[in-house]
Amino acid sequence: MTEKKGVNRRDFLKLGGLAAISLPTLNTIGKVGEDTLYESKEEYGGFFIKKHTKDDPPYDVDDSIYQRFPARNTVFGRMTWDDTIRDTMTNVEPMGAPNEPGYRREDIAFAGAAGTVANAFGSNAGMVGKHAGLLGLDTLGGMNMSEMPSTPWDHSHLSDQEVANITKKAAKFYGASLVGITELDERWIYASYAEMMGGPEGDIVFTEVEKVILPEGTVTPDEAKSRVQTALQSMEAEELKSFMIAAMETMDPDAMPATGGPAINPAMMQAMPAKQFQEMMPMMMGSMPTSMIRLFVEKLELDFEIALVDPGESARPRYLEDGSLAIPKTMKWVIVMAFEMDYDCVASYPTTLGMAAASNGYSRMAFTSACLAEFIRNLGYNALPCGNNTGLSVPMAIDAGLGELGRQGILITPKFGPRVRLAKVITDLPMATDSPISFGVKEFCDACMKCAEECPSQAISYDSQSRTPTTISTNPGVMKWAVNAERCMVGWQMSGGDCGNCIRVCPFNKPESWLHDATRALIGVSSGAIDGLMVKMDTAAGFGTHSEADKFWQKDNYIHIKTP
Amino acid sequence: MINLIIGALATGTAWGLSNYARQRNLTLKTWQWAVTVAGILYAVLVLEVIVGFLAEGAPQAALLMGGMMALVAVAWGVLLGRFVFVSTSEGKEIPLTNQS
Repeated sequence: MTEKKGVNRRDFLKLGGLAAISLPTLNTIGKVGEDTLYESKEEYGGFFIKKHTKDDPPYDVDDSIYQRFPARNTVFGRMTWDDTIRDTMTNVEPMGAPNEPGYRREDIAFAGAAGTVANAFGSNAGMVGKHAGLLGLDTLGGMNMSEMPSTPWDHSHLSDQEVANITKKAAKFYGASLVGITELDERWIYASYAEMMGGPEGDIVFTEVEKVILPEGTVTPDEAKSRVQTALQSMEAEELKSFMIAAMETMDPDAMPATGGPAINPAMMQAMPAKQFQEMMPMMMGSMPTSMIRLFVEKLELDFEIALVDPGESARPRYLEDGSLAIPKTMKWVIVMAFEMDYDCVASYPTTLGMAAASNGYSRMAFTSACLAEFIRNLGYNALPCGNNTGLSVPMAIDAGLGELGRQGILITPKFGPRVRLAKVITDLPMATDSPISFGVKEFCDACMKCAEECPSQAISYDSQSRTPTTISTNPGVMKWAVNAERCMVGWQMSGGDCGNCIRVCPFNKPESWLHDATRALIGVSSGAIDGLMVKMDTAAGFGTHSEADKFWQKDNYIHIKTP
Repeated sequence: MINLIIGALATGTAWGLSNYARQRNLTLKTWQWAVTVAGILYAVLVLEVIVGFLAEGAPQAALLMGGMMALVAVAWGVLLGRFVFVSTSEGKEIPLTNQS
């Protein structure tokens, strides 16, 4: 009998150990057909991603039909002029009673307060009206700690990709969950803006940047400020103090710059240590009006004039005399940001408590967009921070590689599904752009009908994609599942807030875990073959079911709230 | 902590099976060991799936997915025990087909 010898246990375990260690190295980028195999980017959450080109986006638009959409025709805009919408809103039976979970005072107070930053200061991040507050056109006047942005940032030593990476890092630092950059597609900019409560309306136009040639010996106000600061900083502390006091004595006190403290006057300045003048100089110069700069130029006997017009004005977004919003054609880049909404709060939709997730998202949109816009302005470039206004966030986000369009008419991201809110900043800072992606959403949505089934007002289509709009609130020409926005608003009225059932039930809406990453990879590999089975298993496993509001409040281990 | 327990269970099972094979003088082939180790890893996966879904607050998913996967794990264990580790006498390999 022949003695068979196999590998002994010790050697086998050694081999097994080596195999286990080498497994993570397989997490690299490879190719399977046209798809990228397990792209290791954290934002893709385990999906196999196909990257598209700008000429081959994951959507189909017939430009012979498509036109830029007037914001007044959004269902929010129609509330100001469309009696049918107003009548529909007033005759809706609400779903919840005041003492039921999700509709109690603490739930409503919580949801309302979550939108504080979005709605305070006139920002209205969720509306489609004028830019104001945190989302205003002008700098918010944050602390200018270093050089004034009189000249654009010199980033000649950086590649466009490095500039993009810096911008994305800033956006994430300020609060964005996902960031993508794309070139501005003018089709996605609203044809006009409209306030919800009957406020001003106006066109949105793209304007040329005028090159203004200044006469010889004339400089811009920013350049003048820079030269004055240079001259003042060359003075000794005592000399500077004497000069400043002498200059201030001839100035109108109301024209003096604000420094965050009490108004400055010559008597106060006399008491200040000389060294403090040098330390305060950059801060004061940052907010110095042109009239004071002219005085300093005269006192310092500097040999130049200050231009009466700002040659940089035409390069900035601004409102024209007729109320139109002018976007300079040089503002060709859009930084699109997605903000994750809380999973447990979304699970409580369609109650009012669920609205807290969206409202919190809007607040973070306003804060982060404002910060990012100021960052770009501090670099000497122009920025237009946007919430829902000015442009269609979903196609911009698709172009920026953040996700695909879902059946419920909103963006579905690889990592968070549809559980995101979107904001964007339009800018003239040149950067590398991202590619649109697809990861099986269209095929999955063809098989899955969960959002359509769970919509309380049956606003979501069960049919295949088409270009036919359902109401005037759908822009014709785009191949998609057309949501009936009028019925959707009825659903909102029924829920007492902003119904998000379609977000809650979506199989792509999952918390972050390796379990779901593995499922996503499986969906990607199967190329749609098992989508129907995955939908059934998703339902059988209980995902997407409504979670009582009490469970949300009790979820934190440190808080136990008894229901009355 | 729970992962530590699962890891300890897996290691203990591997050690126990290894010990059992040594005591019975079983000489397993490479592929038999590979199937055994794969079975232990699969059992770890099943436990991690159940624990993961429970931690996520999805008990229904833990029951459905964990239950389905556990059935496979149990079948795997039974087949391993019947065809790999059961020996009728010392020093004898258990073939899958009759030897002449």
